Amino acid sequence: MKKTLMTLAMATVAVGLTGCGEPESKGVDPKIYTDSLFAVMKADRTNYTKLVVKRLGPAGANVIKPDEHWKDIDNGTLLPAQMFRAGAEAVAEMTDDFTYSLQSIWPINSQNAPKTDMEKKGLEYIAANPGENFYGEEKLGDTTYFTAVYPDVAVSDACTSCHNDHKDSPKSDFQLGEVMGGVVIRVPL
Amino acid sequence: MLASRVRLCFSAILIIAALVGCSGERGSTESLGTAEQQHKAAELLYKQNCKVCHAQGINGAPIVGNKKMWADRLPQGVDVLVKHAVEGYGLMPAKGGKDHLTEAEIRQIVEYYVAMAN
Ligand code: HEC
Ligand code: HEC
Repeated sequence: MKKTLMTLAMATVAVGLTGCGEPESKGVDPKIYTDSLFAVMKADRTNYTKLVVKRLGPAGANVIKPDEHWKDIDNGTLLPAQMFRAGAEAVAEMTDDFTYSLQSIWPINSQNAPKTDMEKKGLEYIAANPGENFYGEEKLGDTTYFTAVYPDVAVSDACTSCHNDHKDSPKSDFQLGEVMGGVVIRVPL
Repeated sequence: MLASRVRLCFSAILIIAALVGCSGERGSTESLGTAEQQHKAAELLYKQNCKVCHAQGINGAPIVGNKKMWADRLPQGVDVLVKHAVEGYGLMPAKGGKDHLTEAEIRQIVEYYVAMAN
């Protein structure tokens, strides 16, 4: 009995000691916050591509038709990029706590071009360093923001052929495996 | 007091492990050098051709060094993994879209993945 108490006391001391020297908690690091948001976005986008478009589209059961002008087609469905934008727009209606968008320095839709210097710098960085993210801080108006940019990659020939052949695309030589644009997530600090 | 003793023990173990490690390596410095060079070469090939998807988990690509993501794939063995990488597999495009890569180069990268997942 005494021995158990002793052990328990020692264990408590040990736990106490390990606790020492750790920084006080100050809320979530913005990088962890944006990385987590991106993980969810990436998973949803992949699943939409894999479990809906690929399974039910022309490459699968062929019952839905992913198309830019999906609204005009009975069984039309959104392209993954449009689905992504629909999500961003729905979030923007709910909150100003964070914003996100799918952008490119070579956009089909000019609304998807970078608007701030930091966005442009980030998109250029991820294009030049495949597989890496970009993190920066920028001041817009009176507010300082944490801005993270994550790569969006040409994962299939469908991405490259549609963009390369699109009349509004400023670039016609995208290749499989190339960074085509990026997801910009911005949170006020 | 207890914590410092635990730490002391731990350091002792580390030192012993390091010493054992040293004596074990001594006999085979030459082959170790080439193994290291091969690892570096494979890492470079990975960065140039595969990192764009495999560093981030783009489209569900198993992240290099993420043991959890590789756990169910490793048991297939290197030959099958190489075959999948060369021919394409699910959402993995054949050779990651880099047609110029030889099967030997793909094998080099896959062996690097496997080493990083163990
Ligand atoms: C069938 C045609 C088509 C396919 C396939 C396609 N896209 Fe797009 N993509 C578009 C259109 C159209 C837009 C503009 C959407 C909008 O209005 O915001 C767009 C937008 C984008 C943007 C935002 C910048 C821009 O160009 O406006 C990125 C980045 C992007 N797509 C990447 C991809 C990737 C990566 C894939 C493959 C997974 C892909 N796209 C597949 C047609 C396509
Ligand atoms: C365009 C993105 C992309 C690129 C570039 C890419 N991969 Fe992949 N890779 C994937 C995806 C996605 C998967 C998961 C496939 C699945 O399970 O559906 C994958 C899976 C794999 C696997 C596991 C296959 C299995 O049997 O489980 C190997 C091995 C692999 N890739 C090797 C490579 C090599 C080597 C390169 C570079 C030459 C490369 N990949 C480049 C997207 C990519």
